[in-house]
Amino acid sequence: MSRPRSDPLALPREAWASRLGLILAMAGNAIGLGNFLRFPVQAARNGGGAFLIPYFVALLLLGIPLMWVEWAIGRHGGSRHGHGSTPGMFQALGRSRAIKYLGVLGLFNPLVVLVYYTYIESWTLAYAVFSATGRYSGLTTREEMGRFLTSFQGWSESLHFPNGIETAYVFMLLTLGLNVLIIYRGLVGGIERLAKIAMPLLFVFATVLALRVLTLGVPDPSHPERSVSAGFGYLWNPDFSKLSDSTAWLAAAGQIFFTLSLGMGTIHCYASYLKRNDDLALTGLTTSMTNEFAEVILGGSIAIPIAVAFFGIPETRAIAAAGTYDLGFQSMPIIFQRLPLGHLFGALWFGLLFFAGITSSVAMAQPLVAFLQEEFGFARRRAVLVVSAGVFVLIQPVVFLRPVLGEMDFWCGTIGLALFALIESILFAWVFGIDRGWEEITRGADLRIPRVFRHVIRFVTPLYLLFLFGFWTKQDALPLLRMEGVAAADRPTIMMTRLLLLALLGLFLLLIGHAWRRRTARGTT
Amino acid sequence: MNQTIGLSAAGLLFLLLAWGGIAGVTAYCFYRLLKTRDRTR
Repeated sequence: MSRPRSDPLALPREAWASRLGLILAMAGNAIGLGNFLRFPVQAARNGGGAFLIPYFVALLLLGIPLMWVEWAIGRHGGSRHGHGSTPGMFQALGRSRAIKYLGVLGLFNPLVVLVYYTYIESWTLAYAVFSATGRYSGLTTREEMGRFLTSFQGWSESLHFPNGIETAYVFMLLTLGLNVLIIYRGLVGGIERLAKIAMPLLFVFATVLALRVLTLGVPDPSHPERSVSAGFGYLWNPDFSKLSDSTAWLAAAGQIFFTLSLGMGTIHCYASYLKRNDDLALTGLTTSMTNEFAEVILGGSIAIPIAVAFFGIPETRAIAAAGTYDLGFQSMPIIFQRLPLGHLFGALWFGLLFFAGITSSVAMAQPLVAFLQEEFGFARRRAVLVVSAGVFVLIQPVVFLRPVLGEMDFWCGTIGLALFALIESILFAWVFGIDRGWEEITRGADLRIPRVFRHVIRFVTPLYLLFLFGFWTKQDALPLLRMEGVAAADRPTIMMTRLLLLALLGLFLLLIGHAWRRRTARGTT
Repeated sequence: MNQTIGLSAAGLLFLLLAWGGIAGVTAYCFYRLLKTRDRTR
């Protein structure tokens, strides 16, 4: 719904058509590739069943409280002040005129993550097509599938993709186009409708795949140790010795943080389309639990158990150590080829990842669209076109320069998210104040939140985030900043990426300042 | 972690607790949603 340029607050904002639509859209935002690839790898690496202890502790003390905080900041900023992006929402929490600038990460993080996430999402679409059409049929080793992937990405030459990166580029354009089309159609006609179609399909695909895995038994009788039971044992048999190591606790906190899409600005934006007295306690908890269902029950029943059933534990351990891309794009296609109707199951697997991806990527675009609409008076479609053009320009280095994706992922998809979450948790509990904050969370609630969460939100969650941010900075950010272990050939590209990110951050700060000067001039602050 | 004999009793216990807990809370949330009026509309 567009507004006249003269007064962005003159007309009512868009609103969700139904609570089910909101829940599915929020769950779609949270459920991403990490639910099906990152979680099982983290659990297998960090103590199996015992990993679930720090995982649930982090869910209770970090994930759910911060999720409620983000919903509350969003509903407060949207329903009372007409802001769908975090600069305006943060400004509504306190008096200092500088607060709005702290919300810059709620624009910067989703834009940068959207850029490289769209590219990864396009791989899942491409692989769904490759699976259905048998494009990688006959490639039966991880090395062969690895070469298939790198030649698809244009990093190596092979007979599979004689035109180099052309195929990947076409799928990137297709994926970007689909995202643009959905966002262009608006909150209800685009995002909510997508969620109502894609989320049920995602759950159907995941359930079919999980049932197929559960009924595999021992695929190769000559290797009785390679079984689904061994796979579940690898993932669930508890190793309590890992709990004395801080690594498992940090990995669990990180997983909860990423899986719920916290620190991104997307939850705030979706919640901003609620009305002032709409429930957020029960609705928010439902979306988080839907995400957990997809992650622990479905995500934990597909990739790792099937990998153990076909490769055995030693090789699955090597696959897990190599990371989520190896598991998702190299190992799973090999496994599906060994199954009857493997083309179909491969297409279901990558279709599942694509639906998980696209429901997240449209959520990342929405805060930027809302910022242009509400702070600059853009019509929705014009705002969508500007954001899309920005993503199209920024995705070029991601596609053509190999180190860019990893660099963006670390600074914006890891450190940036933790910093943003730390800032918002302090702002909410200590600047806005826990009394007003608690009233905001519990107003209109269809679920009585235990009062202990008031203290958790005030003390425990900010400390948890401070610890997480400090640890990641010390362990990862400082060595990366010094480019330790980075090949000399990659250093110029990495420096260019950092300069690009800094320039982007500066541009957003300038835009925020400009938007508020316009507001001041109009007297609509 | 015993990685050769399959899912151990402790592993099964963790799996059932986690799955049961998540499925139970998720079902309870949707049950409560059905019992309350949708004010979003």
